[in-house]
Formats: sequence, C-alpha cells, structure tokens
Amino acid sequence: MSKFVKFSKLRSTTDSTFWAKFVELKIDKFKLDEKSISIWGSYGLQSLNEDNSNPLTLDFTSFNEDLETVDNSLSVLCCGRMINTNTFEAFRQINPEKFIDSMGKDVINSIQDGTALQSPWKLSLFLVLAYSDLKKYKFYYWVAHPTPLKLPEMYYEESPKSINEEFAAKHVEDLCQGFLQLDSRTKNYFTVLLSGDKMTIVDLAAGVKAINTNSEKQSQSYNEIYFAFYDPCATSNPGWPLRNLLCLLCWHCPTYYFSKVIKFISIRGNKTQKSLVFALKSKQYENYKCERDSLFLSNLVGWESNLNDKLGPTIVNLSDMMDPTKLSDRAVNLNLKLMKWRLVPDLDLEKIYNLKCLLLGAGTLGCAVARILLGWGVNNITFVDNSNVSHSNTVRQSLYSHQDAVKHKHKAYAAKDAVLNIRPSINAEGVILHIPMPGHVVGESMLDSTKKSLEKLEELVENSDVVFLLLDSREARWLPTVLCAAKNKIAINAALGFDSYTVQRHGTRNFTNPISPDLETRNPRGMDLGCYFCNDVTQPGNSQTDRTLDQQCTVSRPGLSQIAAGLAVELLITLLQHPLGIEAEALVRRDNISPSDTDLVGLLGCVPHTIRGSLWNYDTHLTITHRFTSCTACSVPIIAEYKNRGLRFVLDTCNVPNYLEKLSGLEQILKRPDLDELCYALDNTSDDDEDDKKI
Amino acid sequence: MDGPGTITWDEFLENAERFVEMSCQISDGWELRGDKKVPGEAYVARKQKQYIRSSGNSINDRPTPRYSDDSADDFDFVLKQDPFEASCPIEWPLVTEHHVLWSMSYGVPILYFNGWKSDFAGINPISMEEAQSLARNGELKYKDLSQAIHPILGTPFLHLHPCMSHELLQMTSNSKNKLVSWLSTVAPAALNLKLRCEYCQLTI
Ligand SMILES: [Zn+2]
Repeated sequence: MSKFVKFSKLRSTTDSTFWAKFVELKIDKFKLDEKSISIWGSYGLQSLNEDNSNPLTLDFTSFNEDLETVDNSLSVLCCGRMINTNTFEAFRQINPEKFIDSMGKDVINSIQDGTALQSPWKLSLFLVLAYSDLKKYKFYYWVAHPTPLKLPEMYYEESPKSINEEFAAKHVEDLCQGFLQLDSRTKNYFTVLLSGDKMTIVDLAAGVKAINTNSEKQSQSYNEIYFAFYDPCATSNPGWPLRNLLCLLCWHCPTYYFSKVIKFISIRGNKTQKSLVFALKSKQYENYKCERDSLFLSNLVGWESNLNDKLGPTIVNLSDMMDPTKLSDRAVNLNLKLMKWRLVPDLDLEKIYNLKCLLLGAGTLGCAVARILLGWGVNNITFVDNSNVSHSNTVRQSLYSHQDAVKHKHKAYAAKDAVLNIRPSINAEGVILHIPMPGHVVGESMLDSTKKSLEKLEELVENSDVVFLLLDSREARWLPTVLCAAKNKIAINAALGFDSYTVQRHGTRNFTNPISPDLETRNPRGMDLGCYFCNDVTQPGNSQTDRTLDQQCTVSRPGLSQIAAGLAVELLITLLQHPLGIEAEALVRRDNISPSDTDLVGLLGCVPHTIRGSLWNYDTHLTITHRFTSCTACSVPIIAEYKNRGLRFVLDTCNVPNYLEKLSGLEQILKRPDLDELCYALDNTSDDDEDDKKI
Repeated sequence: MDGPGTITWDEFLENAERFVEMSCQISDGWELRGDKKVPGEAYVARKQKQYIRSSGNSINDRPTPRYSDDSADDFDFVLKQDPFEASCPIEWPLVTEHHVLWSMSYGVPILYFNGWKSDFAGINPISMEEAQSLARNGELKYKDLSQAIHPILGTPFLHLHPCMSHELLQMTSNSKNKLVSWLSTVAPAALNLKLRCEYCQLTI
C-alpha cells in the first residue's frame, strides 16, 4: 500500500437544551465573563444508524460540574473548553488558527507530562468558540478537535479487518463486555492485551509500560497488544481520535513507534460490533527524533466543517423554539394552516395576517370582534374608545378583568393590553378619541378638541384596511361612515338591540355616479349597496335628547354581541377571500345558489349585504339596502362637501339643524307628493316584513 | 370498535409495555409516555437524531442551508492544508420523532411522526409532500399520509390514516405482539423508521 493513512473528521451536534441552559447561565452566572468554561460532550451508544457518523453531542448536561451527573454507561464522555465572546465583533476578530493553537495546547501538555496516560480523555479534548445573540436567540458556534498537524506519515501494513476476522468469537465478546464496563471517560482510549487465551483490557499507561518493558527485556509478557480508541466515524479510514493516540505513542515509546507495526482497534457501533482493526507502520525516517520534535512543535488543526461543508461557524437561529412569543405565534399559525391544509387549500392567510383593522368602539362588540380577529390570525388591531372600564362592563366585555375596572382603565388601553396578553406578537394600539356626532353641538370651548379628534380619526381610517363600526349610538357611526366612503375603506357595521342585531358591509362609493342604482338587480354588486344610513329618511341626530331610538340604553341579551361579532368578522373574512372582494354580489335568497357562479360564490361562500337576526324567534334574514343618492352619510353631495370643507363641514353637521337633510337633498324628497311610492321602492328589496325599526 | 383487525386498549398497553421493556434492554430509546390508566392517553414515543447521507430519495436531499444567513459568507475561512484529513461523504442531521398512539374510535394503533432536517426539532421540518413521496416510494404504497393534530399533545404531526391498519392487523393475527408486527410493517412509510431485529422475538 502506498498511500499514507488519512483520518476522518469528527462532527458535533448541539441540542436546543444546550443553548437554553447556556442562555440561563450566561444571564445568571457567567454574565460578561469571557474566560473559557469547562464543558462535557458525549458520543451516545444508542444510535441505530451505524452506517453514518455518530456526532459529539452537546446538551444541557454539558454544563454540569460534577462528573457523576454526566457519567453513564451508554456514552463516551469527552471534555471540552468553551469560549463565548460578548460581542459579535470580538467573535469575528478571533483568528481560528491562533485560537486552536493556544486553546489546544492542553492536549500537547497532557501527552508530554504523561497525564494523558492515566486520564486518556485528555486526548479527546474539544473546543467550542461561540457568540450568542441573546435577544434574537441566534447562536454562532464552531467546534474544533485539536491535534498536531505534522504527524509522521503512517502506512497500512495490511487492509483493515473487522474484529470478527481478527479475533476468536470469545475475544470479540470479551472486547464488547470489557468496553461496556469501562467508565464513560475511559472508553475514549484504552489498551487490549492478548496473552495466551486471555484478553485483558488495561489503560494506556499500562499499555505503554508493557511496550517499554518488553523492549528492555526482549521478552514479551503478552502475545499481542492493541491500542483501542472509540471511533465515531463510519468510513473506511480511521477516525480523528487516532491522531492524538499516535502522538501519545510517538512521545512515550518512540523506538517502538518508528520501527514496529502497531495494531489499533477502532471501536465502532454501540456494542463494538462494527469495530475495525488497523495494522499501521510509520514511514522510515532518517532522523525520527527530529520528526518527533517537530510533531510537538507544530501547529494544531481540527476545526469542523459546518453543514454547508465550509470551514466556518454554524449559525443557528433558535428564536422559533426559545422565544415564548414566537412559540405562541407558531401555535396560532399552525391552527390556521391546518384549516387551510385540510379544508380550504386556497385560503389566503397572508392577506388576513396583514390586514389592518380599526375597531371603533371597545365595548361588548369591540371585545368580541377583537377576539375573533385574533382567532383568524389578524396581526394589526387598533381600538378606538373614549370610555373607561367600569365594574358593570367586565362580565360582558370579554377583554376586561376586574383589575381593569378597579384601575378604571381606559377601554382602548385595557383592550390593547388584553390582546397583547393573549398574543404577545400582535401589533395592537389603543386610541382615546371622542367621535364628533351630528346634532351634538360643538361650542367654542370644544372647537380645538373636535378638530384634533377629526384629524386623528381621518389618520386612523386612512391607515386601515377595514373599519369596524361597533359604537353604541347611531350618530357616532355617521362620521366614520362618511370617512370610509370618502377614503374607500371596507366598513363593517354591527349594531345590537335588546334581542336583535344587524350586521352589514357598506357598499363602495363611486362619486361620479349620482344616478340611482337599478333596484331590480337580483344580487347587486358592492358599488350599488348602501350604507347604514342609506334607508333612513331622517338625518342622524342627538339621540340623547329626542330618545326616539333605543341607542341610549343599550342593554342586550349577553349572547347577542357574540353572535353579531362572529357574523361581522366572518362576513369580512368571506369577502376578503372572494375573488371580487368588496365588490362581491350580495346574497339575498339562499335557494338556487350555483357554486359555479363566481360573482356570487367565493372561496368561503357567499357574502350578504345585511344580516338581521333576532333571538326572539331565532330568525335570520339577509336583506339588501341599495345605495341611496340622497343618503345623509354616503351620497355624492355629502362626500363632496366633506372633501371641500373638512372641519367646517363637520362642525356644521353638529351645530346647524337639519343641515344634512338639506345638503343631501333628503329635505326635497320629503316634500315630494310621491313619497309613499319612494318609500316602497326603498323598502321592497328587503324581505323583512317587520317594521324597519332601526336597531 | 372491536372485532377482527382491531386491538383493545388493554392489549395495546400490554404490547406497548413489552415493546418498551425490549427497548430498555437494547437501549434504542423508546419510552412509554402519558397516563396508562386512561384508555388512549398513553403512547410509545421516541425522538432520535441521526446523520444521513444522500441516496437519491427526497428526504436525503441536502437541506437548504437554513442555518446560514447573509453573515455566513463572512465566515468562509481558508485554513492550513492538512494532508492527513480524509475526504468525507457529506452528511447532515435529521431529527425524527415517532409516537405510537391507540385510537379509541378505530380500535387500532396510529403512528404520528415529525422530522426535521436540522440539529433541532422544530427547525427545517420535513414537509408533508416530502413525507408523502417517501411513503409512496416504499413498499406499502401508503397513500393516506397527512397532517393531523396529535390528540394528546395538541400540536401538528404527520400521521398515517388508521383505515389501512385494520387490514394489517388482520394479517398479524397470529402474532404474540400485534403492536410490534403492525409497527414493523408501517414503519418504512413513516420517514423510514427502522425497528431493531430484536423486537421480532416479541411476536413469536
Ligand atoms: Zn348611505
């Protein structure tokens, strides 16, 4: 054989528990200390996959101080040193060749001073150079198995043999038993002596002594001597650990080393059953002493290659596993993904996740809507409210606790804190804002605050994709309705009576078209659908004074808000997943729905315009309100006036009686002789036989 | 459900305990988890990390280097040439987790499993498609591999639908340990799970 012996490199693997423990120690114990720390590493003897390398494993026990806590019969235990730099810069600036030379010096020392003879695990020293970004749970680490570079060349005296070829069956069994009985550190390196029929296992010191005594006495106290090492590699080459064993023999028995055939047992497999026997002989050197000296003066090598097969650190991001916020995130997303995988493969979860939702009102409806949005994985929620949590709220408004009521917290803030408690990674905001309302007179003293409120509300609507109208009075919904129409945002409206509810999407507004829509269309599109105010023949006013409507006392059956909130969010999600989006045709009659009618049926089914229901008879109707050209909130003249005059317009609606009726043309219509006919036209699209009591 | 092609909870548990005893003897890492007193609440599990080499099928395709990011490029060192370093086949880690549960509604064992092509459970998971193509390539031609929530842990796992288990259990009716017989048949469809040959002794 002509080629000199080469050695297979080692691999190591870190368990996530290694890093978890490290983070804990770094914070509590090491702090900013950059000194090297002692750690353990082990090769497990449980592996089934004996055709591939057995990696050196680092886990949470690596940091244990007592040997007893890591010693076990099912592993081969190695000692290591770890250095963790405090900064990324320091990590980058470490020269790996200098690092291994200085940190690996212990291997050379332990050979030269002979301590490795009794403590063979000193030969399998490993080094870890690391930097950990504790905030991001990102770890950079690089493991080395130091060994001198200038090894005397060794040649195969014969082909490697399996232990079954080399030994009698009895000795194969003896070797297995002997190996398993060694303590976990001594399993690294040991000596096997065959004398007569007897196989004995002794330590390296005894092996070296036997060789040196023999060479003096010229007679052998044994038939055959083998130096054994645990070999985690699985190639035909001997593994890396043999290099330091060769160095040890070269130092302690040089004559033997440079002149004799030396037999090595590479212990492989969990019960030595895959072990190989190598018979090696050194190249003939003219001056072997010189070789020996240069070996121990040489640089050290042994850095591992990373998984990209490059010489460099492994970089691992464990934030998914260690950051509790991310853990919760993963669980939420997985649940939704399951729905996607199993039921609706085309579901666009990304769109839902990125949706920016503005919740106007953080009462019973606001709380319930927020919780359902969380369920869908919506990641951006802003609450707007101007009231505080009171003791009567907590049992009905599902985001608030007793403590919130004790502290009299602002609902907007308490709601924000509650959703953050449920899902820490969410973008939640709370804004305290009083929404200007028509008929609620704004005096001089309130001018400034009204101006600020309007500006803030405009900004919030502008920055949202969807606005939920969940306020507790009809007139409070007016300005948001105007803003949504003017800024072309999706508006979802939900309102409660005592035992009845209305949930609705507002239509889209095209301001160049003042003509009435075709009232005969069976399923009108989004552009022809009305808003909350479209079938009103009076302008919204101060309900606190005229009390004609029921908004002032909004006591509802407790289950009602959950029903309405559920419908409101599902209505939104259905229209988002509809190919026409907000323009989707409105569903009215449930018979004869053809799944192939893609203008009507989307991914999650149909999108009605208005859902009205009652707990009195458990009835649900789908109704339609058409766009009304004289609507007090969304008609062309109103929007044009808002766009022209802004704050002045809003102040006029608050302060000037019947301003909106005049502006929208409603006043003209009310004076028309054919009013009854018109009202009929407005109403007949609804299947609702009940009076159209506004709820 | 009982009758041919099913296994009772008591039998499952008894088989499982034999199985874990054997695993203890040969130290290959299977353990019994959960509450044995409640039917369906205990299961046999093993988590394993191993190194694998490319051999053409998809599980062994080199993982996209999820470990690295842009900063990895800064760290490609050229170090001293080492003449004694042997060239090695490229290997990478694969973490697998296999759980054998008992399904009360089907009266059969069910295999739940997950795999990650990385050092860490949770990072770089094997996709359902990869697992499916592996299962289809196997001898069983197991088609019903899908994602499901682990009934005890509540987290997503891959699993083999129990419908085929009735047939398999019927074929193993002479076995002294139906669980082992069944598991050794379905194991290859679950990320090439291998059972040590010692378990065979339990069935005769
Ligand atoms: Zn309108």
